[in-house]
Amino acid sequence: MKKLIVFLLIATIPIFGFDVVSVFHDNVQIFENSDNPENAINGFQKIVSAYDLGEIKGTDAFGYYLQSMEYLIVLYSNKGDTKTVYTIFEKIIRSDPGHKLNKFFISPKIIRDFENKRSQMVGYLKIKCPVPGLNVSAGTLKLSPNSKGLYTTLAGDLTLRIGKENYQPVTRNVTVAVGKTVEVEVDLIRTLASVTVLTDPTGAQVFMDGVLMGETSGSAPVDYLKDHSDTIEELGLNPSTLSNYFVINRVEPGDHVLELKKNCYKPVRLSLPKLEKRDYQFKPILLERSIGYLIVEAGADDQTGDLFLDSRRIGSLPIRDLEVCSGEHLLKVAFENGTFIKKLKVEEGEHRVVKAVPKPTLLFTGIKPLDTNLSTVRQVTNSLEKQFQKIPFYNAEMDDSYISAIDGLLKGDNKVIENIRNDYGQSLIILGVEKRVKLKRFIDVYVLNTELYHQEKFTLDPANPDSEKRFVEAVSIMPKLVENTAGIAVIRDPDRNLPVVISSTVEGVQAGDVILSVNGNQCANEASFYKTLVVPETKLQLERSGAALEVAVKVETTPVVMRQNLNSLSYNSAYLYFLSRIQFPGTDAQKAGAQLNLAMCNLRFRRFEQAFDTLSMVQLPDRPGISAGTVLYLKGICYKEIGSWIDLQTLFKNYHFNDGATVINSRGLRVQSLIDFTFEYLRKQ
Amino acid sequence: MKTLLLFLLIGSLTSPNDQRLYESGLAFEANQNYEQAMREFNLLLEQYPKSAFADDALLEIGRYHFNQGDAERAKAFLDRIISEYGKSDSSDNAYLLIGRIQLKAGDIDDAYNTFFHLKGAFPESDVLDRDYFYLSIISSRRGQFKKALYFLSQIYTRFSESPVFPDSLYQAAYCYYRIGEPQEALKMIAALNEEGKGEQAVKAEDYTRSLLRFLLKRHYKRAKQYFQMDNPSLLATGEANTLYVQAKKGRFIQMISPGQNRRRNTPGNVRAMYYQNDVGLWFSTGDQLISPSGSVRLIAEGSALQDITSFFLTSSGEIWAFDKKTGLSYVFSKERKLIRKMALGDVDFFKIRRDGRIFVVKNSRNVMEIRTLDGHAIKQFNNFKKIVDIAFDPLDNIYLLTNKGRSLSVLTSDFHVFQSVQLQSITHSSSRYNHLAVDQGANIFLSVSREREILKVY
Repeated sequence: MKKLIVFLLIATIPIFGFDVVSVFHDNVQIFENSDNPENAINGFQKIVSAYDLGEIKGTDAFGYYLQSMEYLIVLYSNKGDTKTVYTIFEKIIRSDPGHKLNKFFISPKIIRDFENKRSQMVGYLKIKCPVPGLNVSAGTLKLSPNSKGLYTTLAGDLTLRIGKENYQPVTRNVTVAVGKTVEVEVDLIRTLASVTVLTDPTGAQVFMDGVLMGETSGSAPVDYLKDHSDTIEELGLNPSTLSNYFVINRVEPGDHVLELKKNCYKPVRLSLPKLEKRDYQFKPILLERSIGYLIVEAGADDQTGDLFLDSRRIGSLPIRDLEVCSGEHLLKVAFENGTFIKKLKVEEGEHRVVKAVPKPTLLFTGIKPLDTNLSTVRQVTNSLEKQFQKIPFYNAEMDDSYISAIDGLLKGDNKVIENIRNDYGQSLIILGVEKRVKLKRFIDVYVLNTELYHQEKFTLDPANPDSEKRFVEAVSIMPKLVENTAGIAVIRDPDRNLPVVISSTVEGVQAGDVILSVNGNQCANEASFYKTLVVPETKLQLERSGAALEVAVKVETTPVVMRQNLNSLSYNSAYLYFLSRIQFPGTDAQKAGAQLNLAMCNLRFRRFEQAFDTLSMVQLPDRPGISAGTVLYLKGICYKEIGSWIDLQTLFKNYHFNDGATVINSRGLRVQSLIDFTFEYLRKQ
Repeated sequence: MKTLLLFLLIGSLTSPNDQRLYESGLAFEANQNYEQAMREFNLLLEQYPKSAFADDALLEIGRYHFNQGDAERAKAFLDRIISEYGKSDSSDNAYLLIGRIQLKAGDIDDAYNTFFHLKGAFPESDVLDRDYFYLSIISSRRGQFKKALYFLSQIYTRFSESPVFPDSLYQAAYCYYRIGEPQEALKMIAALNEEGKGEQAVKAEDYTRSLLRFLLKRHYKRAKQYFQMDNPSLLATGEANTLYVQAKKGRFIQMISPGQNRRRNTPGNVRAMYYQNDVGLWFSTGDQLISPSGSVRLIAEGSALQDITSFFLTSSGEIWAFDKKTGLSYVFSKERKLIRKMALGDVDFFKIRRDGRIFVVKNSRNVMEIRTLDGHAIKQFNNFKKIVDIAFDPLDNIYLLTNKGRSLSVLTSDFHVFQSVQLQSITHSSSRYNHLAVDQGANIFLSVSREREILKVY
């Protein structure tokens, strides 16, 4: 049974995959060049059979059909098979009564015989109609006029269909005798309009009433160029880029809108009011270029990267004045240490400058399933991919090498991490392992990065969308690096619902002052007060002992230090973020913020020496708030964590920085107090 | 039952038995079926003592007994984790619970040592935040506010998402205030507000008002009627700013809180009232103390105390009571056993402050003596005359009703005079007041039984 099925399958294959063109040309080769041209008979016969059986269709197929029969005439004639030759004559005449045999390879004798045969089968139609360029068919046969304007048709009773684009067709029943000409008078009624356009340049999409009709193409006919040279010159058109006619038939009379669109060109919209039932040809339409310019530079001088615009490689940075079509583009710069991706819109004539700063790649290696039930794994994978949008997959096939990559990462295999680093640059790696707890399936998601091996684990509950949301936020939302400060600490007075000053290092602002407004804006609480501060100066309206006064305070941007044990943050992700902000810093404050927070990451990972070294690189002034004193304190923490209490005490005893230096932010705990408390702790065990 | 059997069957097909027992125990716990849960855990311990889940099972049992209030039983299981499983995953939690048991029992030194050991032995423990918090509580109780701030600063700089973070900031505000830095105290409350710990908003506002008052010297200036009732007498404030007022003739206690008034009948005339967060409102009817869970007779050397006109409870559950009949002060243990009796002189009444300082008013109310819980006298004030009542706010500031109820004196926690004023200048009436209470926001309440109103001074 199996064998039979296979056979049937094989047997049916040729019918479905018939390559007419190849078969035809192969057999023409045999006919022309081979010593045994009759070997081409089978090939041509196949084409004829295929068309007869409806296996090949269309105008092109019809052409090959007729030509194949022509070759068969010659081949069978050479064989002396006159009967078959005449059969083929008849077939050709029945298929195309006006067909002319190819005189280049068919002998005059055969042509004469063909014409004789034809004269026994056909009659002629003379169609009188005021409308030129008619479409005439008799039954299923399409008829074409000969040089005398007569339509050759098979003799007999015919149902003629005479028509033309945009006209109502007419049907006539006629009887044509062999060799006789029948005159048919017809009047066609116009029902629809046509619109013809040409565009410069070619290749414009044509929309009629919002519907895409096609694209202009080709080049303008020579006659047209000759006849319309004045118009072409007047409109400033380029004859070499002017398109051929684009005709839209079957346009209903009335109001229409024609639109022309082409990339990098301004769209053109034409109102076509009150079209009547006739042909309209409009003046050629010139499309205007719509371009902008891109300047793409690396964030730092010594950084090199390759620019890809809309997935096409442009070249190495810097790229200056790159001409781009106006509109939206996807810009990607591949650096050694990550990629920069940006979607941007370029306006016409705009010179858009882009500074590319590499962001580490986010890489999802997949989830190792618990067993063959993959539904939970797939659900979580799809959801994470959607939320992180285009996470590149590393070896995402469900095969051994993929599974072993996850195992390798879990074990801290440096080779796997090295491979990832080579392929993707500085990357954050996320992988999952499915587990079951109390009959429920969970995913333990591990996060690590290519720069240091320190796994973090988050457990996702696929049934709880919040757990996934929290994880995605932990990886995506980064802590602040800087804030605006003015040396003023406030608290919301619940009786006034306004901030009141707790402490101030600013002249003119005292503890107890009520803040009525900040730059004219009323602030109800602490958070809104700090948010409203503006660099470099902010006006405060104050109330003191019932009297109102205004003070302008200096505002600076200063670093903010994150805490060491945040569960809502992935320190691996933050590590890479801070690293990139150090490599490509903005202001000094941002760099210092990044360095301080990188040190906090190292503290979190218990890499105390690295934390100490990072802190040693931070340069901050000696002043209140996050400053040099802060750095000293954090260095003390490093000593504390490794148990070097003597070094800690030596460091703290020599504290000579500003009394107002703080931790966390400008209004956090004072470093001097913290040192004081530490000594108190050490004094009385 | 069917579901349970099915679960057990499936469990046995898919995971080892000890794990199955542990997981089913957890499942029972999640469904609050604690009896079954304990059975599963105990079965695990019996059948698989070497199991990787054995220490976890011990922890669950220990925690259960702790929550039930059975400290002895809880400690027995928790001690086993430490002695039998060394540095297991559950050891840090075991230490934490043992420390809490010791703290509740009043073994402050042992509790401190336990918490201290935890942080050294488990520097990456998930319960480090709570460990630091309890260390700060103990330090505060010992009056070591800077040390307490050291521990609290660890929570502030490291654990902003910890469940103890809000409480640690309140505690830090209190400690900062006690070391004379009200501005830093306010910064702690401001940090809470900025962190968006909204559920504590009322408490944060109360602390803010209090601290701003003392920092900016916003003296008490105004008074208004707070509540009307017949014969308001003794006053006490409780949680959520509830005011407890004894109705002198009506034999009930009115409980007034924002938006709600309730009454509690009393079996006799109330001689004294005391409120503490952990234990609720207690009151004395003379020969017995009435607590939320029942009545307590205090027996000293075979005889019951007859006229308890003043009493309080310490944080470790000891009861101090003054019997006017004998003129002696007695200290009873949590189990109501007499620990000691003291002759403190001619006592009129005494009160305890949050930090464990006892304020004894004596000698016809002209002397105020401050003593420790050991009974040692550390300070004495002779300049306040006819002290009628004393109250304290959450920052340990002291409020005195003096001059037979005509004057109000407010002292800061370190005994500096903040304000001393004739009440008439605030109340605009010549009434004298016998009773005083202060709420979380340092609002003062005054009452006297012959008036029909309770005044609020702010």
